[in-house]
Amino acid sequence: MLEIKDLWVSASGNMILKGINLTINDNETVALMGPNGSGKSTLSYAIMGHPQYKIEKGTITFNGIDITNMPVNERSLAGIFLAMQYPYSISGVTNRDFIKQVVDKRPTKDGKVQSIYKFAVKLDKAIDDLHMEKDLADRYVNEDFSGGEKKKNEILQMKMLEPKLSILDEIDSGLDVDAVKIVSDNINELKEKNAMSLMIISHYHRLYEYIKPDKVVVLINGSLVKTGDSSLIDYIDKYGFDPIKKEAGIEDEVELLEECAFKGAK
Amino acid sequence: MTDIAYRRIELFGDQYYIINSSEELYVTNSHEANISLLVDLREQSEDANILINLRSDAKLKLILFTIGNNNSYNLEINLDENAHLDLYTADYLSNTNTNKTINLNGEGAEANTYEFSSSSKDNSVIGKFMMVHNAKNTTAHGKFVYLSKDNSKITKDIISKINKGMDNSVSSEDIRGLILGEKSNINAKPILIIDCDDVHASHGCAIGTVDDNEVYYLMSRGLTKDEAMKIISKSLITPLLKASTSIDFNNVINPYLEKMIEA
Repeated sequence: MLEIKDLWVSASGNMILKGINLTINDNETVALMGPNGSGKSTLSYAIMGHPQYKIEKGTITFNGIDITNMPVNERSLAGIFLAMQYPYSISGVTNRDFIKQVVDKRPTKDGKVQSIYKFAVKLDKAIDDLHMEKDLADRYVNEDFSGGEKKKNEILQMKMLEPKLSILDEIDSGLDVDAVKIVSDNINELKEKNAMSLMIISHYHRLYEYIKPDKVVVLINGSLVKTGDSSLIDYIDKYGFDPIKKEAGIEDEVELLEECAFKGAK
Repeated sequence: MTDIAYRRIELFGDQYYIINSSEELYVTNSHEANISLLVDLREQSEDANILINLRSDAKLKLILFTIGNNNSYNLEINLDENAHLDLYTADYLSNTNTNKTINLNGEGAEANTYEFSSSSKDNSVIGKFMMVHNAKNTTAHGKFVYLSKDNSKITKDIISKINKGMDNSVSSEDIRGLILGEKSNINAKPILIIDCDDVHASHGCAIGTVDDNEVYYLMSRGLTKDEAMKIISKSLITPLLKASTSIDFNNVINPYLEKMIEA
């Protein structure tokens, strides 16, 4: 499904990702973990072609097609969806109109645009499934939405677009305990229905209890340093990232600076 | 304006009017009106003056769309005691000078305004919008949205004036300007003239280019850049499109509104 080879990505002149190699197979769920600032969101934006992130070296291939230089809208139409950590508001554009317009860019199996009636039925059901307010469809995209509503709105769009690969960047932040369960159920349902692949970024154990990853990868200082199964999540939850950093030979920058200052004082 | 002899047209119910020259319109005491008003000045060479009076306790929802060439026009709306106005206005004019004034003359009068203007090519749109509090306990909220394309220029003064003794009045101005061309220009001045202590007055003004993050968000769902820009521009006229319930009026103004927002 997705193959990343020797990917180096910079932003504002700083190299953030250093030689990433990652494969996400069909119907596979990958958990991407790492300390704050390790480059997790950068990786998700690089896959989704954000213009602020420059690919210095390497390739990204999706279903056999090189998408490294593909425009972001074409990556979306190819079947990649990014549920953003901080979704943007679009004032004056209703959810209904926006979602209809992007759904219409994806013809149905018979090559036609989905009928307005079928679209409306599907949208209303998706809103119900996510336990969202009924008037949500007619509100402006993310305007005056709570943090949790914005995250649910990302999943609403995912349900309507039915992508082949979804990248969920901290989808659980801002969600209460019940909302995490509801959102997880909806993601699992779509995954089961369409054999959707997932890359999930989250700091918290509870999301992974609901959406079981097949593989866990750990990103530290822009490099993938460890790969394991779901037991790695429990390990990180218990011991943090320090043991993994030590194993990978990564010294903490703060400790390094303190050491230098101490040696200088001597 | 008071020196000009007008026809007097009473506004009531849900109506669609077309006027081609200076007129006086009014809403009688305690009556309500939901009016779509097309001011067509294309055949006019003189300036047009539109005067609207809301008597006490009258309510008016007015969607006002003006079409012209190099015309200037003046709009004056007077609100008596407890009168209520919801005004949505847009002008399809080039190289013009427009002056719009809302006078809150009676205690308890309230006006909410949404104004949209755009300019394109080498045109210049100049205008002034005044909200004047001439009585106590009056309220005026204005949202002003401007779009400048190509080499055009929009110059607007938005003035809220609270006169002496007009206690407990509330006035706010919110100006948004979107610049699409490299040489496009919007010069919008929010001005508060406050001659009274016990009031609430505020203004805000934000002028800039399209937010790249908004464009990216829309493109990440499959829209091309042009489609994303169009959806963002179209959002500026959404309040106008939703305000009028007259199909005939909407059929006339929609093509003009589309031209006003196209990149």
